[in-house]
Amino acid sequence: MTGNQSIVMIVDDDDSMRKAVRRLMKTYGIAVETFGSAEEYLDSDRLDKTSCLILDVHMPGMNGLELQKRLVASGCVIPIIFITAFTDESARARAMTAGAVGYLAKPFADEDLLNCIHAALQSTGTDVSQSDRP
Amino acid sequence: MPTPMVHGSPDLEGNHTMTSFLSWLLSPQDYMPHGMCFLWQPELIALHVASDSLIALAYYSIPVALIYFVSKRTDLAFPSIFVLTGLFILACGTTHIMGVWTLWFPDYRLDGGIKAATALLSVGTAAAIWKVMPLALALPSTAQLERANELLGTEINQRQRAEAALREANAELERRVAARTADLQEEVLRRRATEATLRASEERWRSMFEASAVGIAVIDQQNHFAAANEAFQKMVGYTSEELQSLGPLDITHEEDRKATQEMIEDVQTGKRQDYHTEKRYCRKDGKVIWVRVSTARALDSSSALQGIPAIIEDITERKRAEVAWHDAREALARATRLTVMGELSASIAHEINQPLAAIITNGHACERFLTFSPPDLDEVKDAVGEIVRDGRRASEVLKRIRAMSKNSAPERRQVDVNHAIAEVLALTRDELLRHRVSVQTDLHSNLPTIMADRVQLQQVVLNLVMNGIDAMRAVADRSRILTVRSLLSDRDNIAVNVADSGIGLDPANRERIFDTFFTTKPEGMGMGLAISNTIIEAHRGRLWAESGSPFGAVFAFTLPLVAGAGS
Repeated sequence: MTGNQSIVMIVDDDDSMRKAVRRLMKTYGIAVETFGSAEEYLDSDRLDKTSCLILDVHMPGMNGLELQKRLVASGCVIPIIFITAFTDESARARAMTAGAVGYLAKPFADEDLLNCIHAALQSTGTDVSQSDRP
Repeated sequence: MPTPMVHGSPDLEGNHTMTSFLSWLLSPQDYMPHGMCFLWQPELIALHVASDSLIALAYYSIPVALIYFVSKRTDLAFPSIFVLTGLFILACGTTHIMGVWTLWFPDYRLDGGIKAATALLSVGTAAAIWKVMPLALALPSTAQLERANELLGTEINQRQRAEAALREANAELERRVAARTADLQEEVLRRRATEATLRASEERWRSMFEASAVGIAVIDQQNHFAAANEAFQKMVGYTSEELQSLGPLDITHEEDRKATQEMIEDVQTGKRQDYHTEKRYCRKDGKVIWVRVSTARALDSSSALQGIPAIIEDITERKRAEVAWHDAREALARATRLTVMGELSASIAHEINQPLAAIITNGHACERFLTFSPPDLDEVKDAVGEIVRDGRRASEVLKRIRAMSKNSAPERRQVDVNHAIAEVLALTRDELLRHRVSVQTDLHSNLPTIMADRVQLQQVVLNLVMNGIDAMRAVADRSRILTVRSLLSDRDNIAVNVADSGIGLDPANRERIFDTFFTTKPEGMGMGLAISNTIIEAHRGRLWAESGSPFGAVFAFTLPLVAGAGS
């Protein structure tokens, strides 16, 4: 792993979900960092290193949509993929309008998530294809 | 005396003798007058004439006096003696007359005859006197008679006095008898009136007893129905005669017999004055009926009927209605519970989706790790461990849902209220999260368990939590905080408070929020609080609402540590 290697950040309050997504990314050789809440992510210095953000919609404290709003407002152009266990069409519409790359309902197929990640990384010009294997 | 007369009539010899004796007596004689013996001396003649005359006069006066005396004193003893004596004295007087006569006329034969007659009378009188002497001596003397008379007088006096006293006593007695008779008559009238009143009263009571729509019975010392009215006989299907050999225990339903026995003993021993109970009787035809029995204290010993009177009311219909109402209430509670669960469905789906998503993602990862050569079995092992854990997590959620929506009959058990609250909060965790409500709990650490229906209690807590979430829906300018508290409100009750920081109670609606069908939510049914109230009341608790500080509302309920008898 090099300094300019793309890193996927996962923000989800559900511990199991964070671990599962991290494990799946590992099989694709994608570097992952996880955060338990929006606040934890914002307080870290990892915003600049983020190639793609996998973000849970509903979380205690600041939720995913609010974090998106904050990032957009601060001019930060991190591609965001929302994952949610709620089927909430208005939230999806708001997220997509605000520029989300994807909005996936849990449980999702691994291809769907991977496609979204590829799309996100392409949008930022980062290539993850060489990371098919760790 | 002339002789021819002596021989005159041979047929009548006695008469002839008598006649001739008289003729002899009266015939002229040639004797010298007695004055001759006195030589006709005038002084001597005069002395004899005067003396004999006076003696004769005196002698003649005595028989007259005697005859007068005898004729006046008719009660005289021995009157014949007096007559005889009178004749004897008369005869004596006559001899003295003859003494004067013979001075001048020498009728000495007549004089002798008179003397002979006098002698006969004298002898007869003397004999008679001696004869009656003992009887005469026995006659009481005048002194004796006077004394006797005096005694008699005294006695008479005494008797008269006694008689007067007796008369007085008699009069007094009669007065008393009259007064007593009057009293008795009055008493008889009074008794008749009392009797009539009693009879009327008895008839009134008897007709009430007989015509009463509720059963009335008297249970005697032997624990039998000494008396039972028609309503009671109809109720239990036994006749009055049959009931006399039956007691309350005989017709009481098996399961209620023990309690009945205890109550009867308590009343008989005076441990309790009376009792009111609802229990079951088995009719003669085997049907079971519900009755309400109220007994009073035992009839006092002066009553004609000894024992304990009881009023028995057939409440079978009421019980049936109660059961139906209870069932309906249960059904409604279940229905509203399911409605709330429906409202939670999105959150529940989220909570199940979360572990499912992790499982599926881990599954995909495992598939890929296994295709590696060599397969990364350590990763697979970790992933499978998490899959199992998440599977269990999803299963727990389902279990909670099933517990809350189960259709079984309500049951009372020891419930840990804190645990019940925690389960509701787990079930609503995602709902709270979705509505950006943070939960604060302040659960009393040593809360005793209470006898309650856990599902129903959780339904109440769930309702209050959901209401709290709703109340904070419109709140944007402050934190949405739901505070759930459990505490010991006093020695006998625990309390649970659910406070929100929402819009608070509208004073206009405050009185109506527990009414059925009252709601402030557009999609609400108005069942939640009404049902919650019913549930808490059935647990002998109380549910109320008050304004929060500085905003919001607090819904609180208490539950007794010792469960009430309510169903």
